[in-house]
Amino acid sequence: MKCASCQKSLLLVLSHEASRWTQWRVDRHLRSCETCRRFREQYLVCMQTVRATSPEPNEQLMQTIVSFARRHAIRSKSEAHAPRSVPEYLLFRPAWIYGALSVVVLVVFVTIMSPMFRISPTDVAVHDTQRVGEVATAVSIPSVGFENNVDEQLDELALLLELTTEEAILSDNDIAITWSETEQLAQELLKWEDAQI
Amino acid sequence: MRENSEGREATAQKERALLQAYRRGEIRALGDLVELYRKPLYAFIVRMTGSQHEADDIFQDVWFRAIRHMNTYRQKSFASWLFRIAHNVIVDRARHRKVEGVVEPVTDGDTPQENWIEHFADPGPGPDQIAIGRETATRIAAAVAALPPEQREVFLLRMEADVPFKEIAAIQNVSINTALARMQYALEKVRAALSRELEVVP
Repeated sequence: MKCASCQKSLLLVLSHEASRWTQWRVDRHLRSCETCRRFREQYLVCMQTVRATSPEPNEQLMQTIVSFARRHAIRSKSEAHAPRSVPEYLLFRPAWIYGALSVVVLVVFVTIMSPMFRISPTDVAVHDTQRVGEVATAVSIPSVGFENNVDEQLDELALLLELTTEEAILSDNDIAITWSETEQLAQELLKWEDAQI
Repeated sequence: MRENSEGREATAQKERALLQAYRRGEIRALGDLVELYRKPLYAFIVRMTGSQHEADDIFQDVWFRAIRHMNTYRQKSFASWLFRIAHNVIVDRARHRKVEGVVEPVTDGDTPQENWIEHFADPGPGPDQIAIGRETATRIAAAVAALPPEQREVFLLRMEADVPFKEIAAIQNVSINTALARMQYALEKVRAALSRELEVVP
């Protein structure tokens, strides 16, 4: 063990923070090293000298502290025993205002932004299959009675188809038909027309 | 104050008992606690600031803060907690004065530095005590005041207050090796200043 290392470890030994192993190594080194023994002695004398010349506070200062402690203790005791008509958790807090303001801002934001999030009838399939069936039945292609005046019947079907489409656009969720359904209907109409031709 | 680990443990037990008594409402217990740290804390503050007048303010402020937060105190060592408060108060005051680090003490002839030296504690007669005069006190004060603030703090916490290096490192927010190195440098300088007194060592 070198002297520099020993002196550092010795500081730990003198403050009772060294492990047994470190203490043993330091003791072993001290037995053979006059410099480190002297360091230890000088450290102890230094400590003794410093402590012996320590300044002390005057009595008035001590009295001030003790009387402050007394006042503080009395105040703490009276606060602890003071009756409280309203439970602490119900007392007004500024956080409540912030919370209420946040809710108002959120509601206004949702109100303003809601039209932007409305579902377009042209993009989304309607899931009300029952209504789809009803409309499909209503506009289903009649197989009888079209032979005589094909053009007239075709116009009628086209109008019906147009009306259905328009309705679908105007009242998105109430009408249960989509573009895909309309296209399907149109294709059937065209097939029927081809067959007639 | 305390000379060995048993003594340190005994002091810790005494502190705990006094704290519990104070929390139960016994004001006298706090008086005893203040008395226990009266000298080391005050000496630490005086030697850190170099001014007795400022040290009085800080000493009072430290105890006021400690008393206000006594009920929330949960740490293992009361000494570390108290000296950490003192460290923070000193550093805060130094910052307020726009001084980097800890306040440098004034070391002129008729300054507050001299003021407390006139009233330094009388070591009292004792067979194993060395004779210490005013000249020695002045030399120690000058040597300690000449140390850089970080080294001075480590030196005083160890020498005056017997705070372990582990806790000194925590107070200064450095590693224990750094605290030890600072102590070594500080000791070297103080030993040089106290060469005459240290010559009596066989």
